Amino acid sequence: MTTFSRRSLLAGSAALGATLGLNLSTLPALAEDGSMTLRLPLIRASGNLDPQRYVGIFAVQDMVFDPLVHYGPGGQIEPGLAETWEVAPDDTGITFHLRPGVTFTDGEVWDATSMVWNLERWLPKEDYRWMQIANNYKDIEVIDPMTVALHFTKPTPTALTELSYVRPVRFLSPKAVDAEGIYSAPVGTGPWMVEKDGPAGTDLVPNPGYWGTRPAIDRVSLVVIPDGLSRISSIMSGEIDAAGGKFIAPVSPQDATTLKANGVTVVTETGTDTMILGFNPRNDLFRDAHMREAFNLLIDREGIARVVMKGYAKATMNLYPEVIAHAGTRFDVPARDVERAKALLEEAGWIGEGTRSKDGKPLNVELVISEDAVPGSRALGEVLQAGFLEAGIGLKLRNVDHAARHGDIPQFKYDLSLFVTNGAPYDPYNTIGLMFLSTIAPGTDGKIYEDTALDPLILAALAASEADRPAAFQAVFDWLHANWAIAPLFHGDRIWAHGDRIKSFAIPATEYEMPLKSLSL
Amino acid sequence: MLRITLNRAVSAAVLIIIASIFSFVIIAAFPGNVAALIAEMRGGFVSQEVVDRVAVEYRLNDPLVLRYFHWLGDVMQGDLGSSLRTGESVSTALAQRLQPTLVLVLGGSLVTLIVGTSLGLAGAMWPNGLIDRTIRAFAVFNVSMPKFFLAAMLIYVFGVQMQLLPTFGFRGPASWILPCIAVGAVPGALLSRLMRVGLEETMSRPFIITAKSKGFGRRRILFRDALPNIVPVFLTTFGMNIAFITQSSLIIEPIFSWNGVGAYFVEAARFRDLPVLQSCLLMFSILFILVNLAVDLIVMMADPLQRRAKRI
Repeated sequence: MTTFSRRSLLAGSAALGATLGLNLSTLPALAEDGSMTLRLPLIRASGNLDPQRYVGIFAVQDMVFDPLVHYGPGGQIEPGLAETWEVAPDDTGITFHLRPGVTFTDGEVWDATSMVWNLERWLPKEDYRWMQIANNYKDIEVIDPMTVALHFTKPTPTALTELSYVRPVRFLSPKAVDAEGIYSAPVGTGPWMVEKDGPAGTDLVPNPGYWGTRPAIDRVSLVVIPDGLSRISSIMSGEIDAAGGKFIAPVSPQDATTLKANGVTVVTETGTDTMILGFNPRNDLFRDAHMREAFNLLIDREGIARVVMKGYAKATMNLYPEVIAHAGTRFDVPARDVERAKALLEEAGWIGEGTRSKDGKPLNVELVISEDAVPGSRALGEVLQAGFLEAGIGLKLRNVDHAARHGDIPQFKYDLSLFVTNGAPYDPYNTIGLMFLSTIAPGTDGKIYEDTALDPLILAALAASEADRPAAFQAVFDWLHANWAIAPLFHGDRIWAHGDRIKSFAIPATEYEMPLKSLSL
Repeated sequence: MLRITLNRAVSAAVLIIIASIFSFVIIAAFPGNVAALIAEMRGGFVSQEVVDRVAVEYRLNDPLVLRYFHWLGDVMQGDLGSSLRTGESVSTALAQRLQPTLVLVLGGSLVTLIVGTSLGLAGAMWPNGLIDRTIRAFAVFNVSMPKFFLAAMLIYVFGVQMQLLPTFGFRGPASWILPCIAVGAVPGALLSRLMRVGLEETMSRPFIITAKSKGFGRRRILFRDALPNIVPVFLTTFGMNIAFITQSSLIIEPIFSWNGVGAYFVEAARFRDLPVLQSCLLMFSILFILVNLAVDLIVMMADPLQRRAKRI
């Protein structure tokens, strides 16, 4: 029988202590890493980075793969792999002059051949018809090895903006696929190369042959930290340098408040999207404009922005925030007016004490909420519930997950639902095109509103020439506003927080990129 | 002994088949449009036609029974399918993520054992004294505390304030300490109460009084006579706690950013990744059944009464 003497137990304990001590002694080094490695969290693993698959983290794909053109601040289109371009006067084509001397990180040359190879992987496919360039695609013309023209069947003024998207439009090395043409490795022309990738995180190093300004950082180490609380702790302990971005490592308004109170720098900028309470347009209850107006007037938008969003939001009645191109004139945010709302409900025939009723049917409506799809929707729902109750409207919250929402919303199985506009770089075109136009079948995110009277205005805005675009978009916004068609709530701020190692920091133009351009350690 | 072992193994196999049915049906019968999620990952905004096409491709419209047998056939051949979300092989992904979960389960079990035995014995050694009362208060406090809260407190104290231990990541022994304490402390506190009460009861039994009358000291009686009597109950409860610790990986792994099977399950649940969910659930079920089988056999070996009863 094996026995342990007191001496061997002590020796064992000492050895264990020494091992732990050795490991503990490495912690300060980790927290005060003096290298030029930037440590950022990711909400989940980078995943498959194939630019034609909707799986990977957008911002990591953006680091590796370049577009033809970049989406700059305020929607300004800037050169990327295309140095210059000419748009046909009728918007039915664009001729691109490709940037010379660019190679993919595996040595493959960037030219018309690699551009056409990439575009043919997705442009003609049905899966991408939601983009006007795919829907209106006619053909690709190779003029010379560094000049390519894209032709469309009809005017496509959205083309340049769409070509700045992260996916599916970014360019992959033609060698980075297997014999069957299936993506095999993340090889692009972008400023960063993937050095190591796995379920725990991704390490990226600068592309030595990058055509643009080389990053001032030696390495970006992306660590998977799915839990919001853990991300806060990691910033406060100095183990990571920054967190933020809607699709990277979100910092909620509550998190931002906590971090700020603990001396962490919080950087914010007006968001590019809008939180909207949508009325089911196929529900008889909301065909009556009185009802839509009443619901609108029962919302305390300023209160929501101040309390639920902790001040990290701006109350609104507009579909798009001002940072989106052609966002239109600002509408006044109405003060909450319970008496006027009650009068409107009575005009619509909903009367009685307690929960109102009409023809014996009580005024109970259901709001579909989903924390997965719309973070913060439960808290918002509860505030709306209390506000509607005051006017005799019973609001039931139905909490569903992402998959259930994607089943119910396109099939209009709801009374009210929370929607978020697509933001930059997709808007102003994407949200009104896909989530308002009744001639397009609802996608997985459904319709915020639809009306055959609205369709011609949207189609006119989407096809308008540059000169006519502001007025055409304004007509859409005016119609929505005059008909109380939607209940915009707020434009949420974009929030990032960073530690002391970061010397300069600026929030990027979209939620689909890392804040690396102006960042220094 | 061999016959008993075989009988138990057959029961375990039947349980595994039942678990496989539950693993499949519970996940597959959830409401919601999985085809829409898969289609969205392929091409962003998708139309109903594309969603319908995906549903046919992934056999999502087939009857549940047919889908179950199709899935079981693949599982029997070692093919757990591909993740609907990432396309990666579930078997490969699980293999990559097994190590952190094993470390958490083994480390957590070790913490449970250390906390349970040391506090239980100390309480029994000095009953109703200051130490016993302090330990009892500690145990009640620990049992009442949700695991996620304990984890958050550990992170705050040892990671943020003292900067002594890492707050996230699976990166060597130092990073294992807080997660293992977070999963092991609560079951450890429960076990300590079990041991303390068990020993107290045993110490009042006639054979202990006989031992005392022979003049043996309390420590000798406690360790040599009382302790072996509560070992079977202790081991059975400890076995159940291993299953509890395994379940806890679902909460603790995401908090400490460990990319183990628990975190994989949670991530898959958010995206309704059926093959991943079904495989993880099946794996947890099998682990639970096997641990219980092992504990049963160990208890049987450790307890002469049970051995004899089985023979009869």
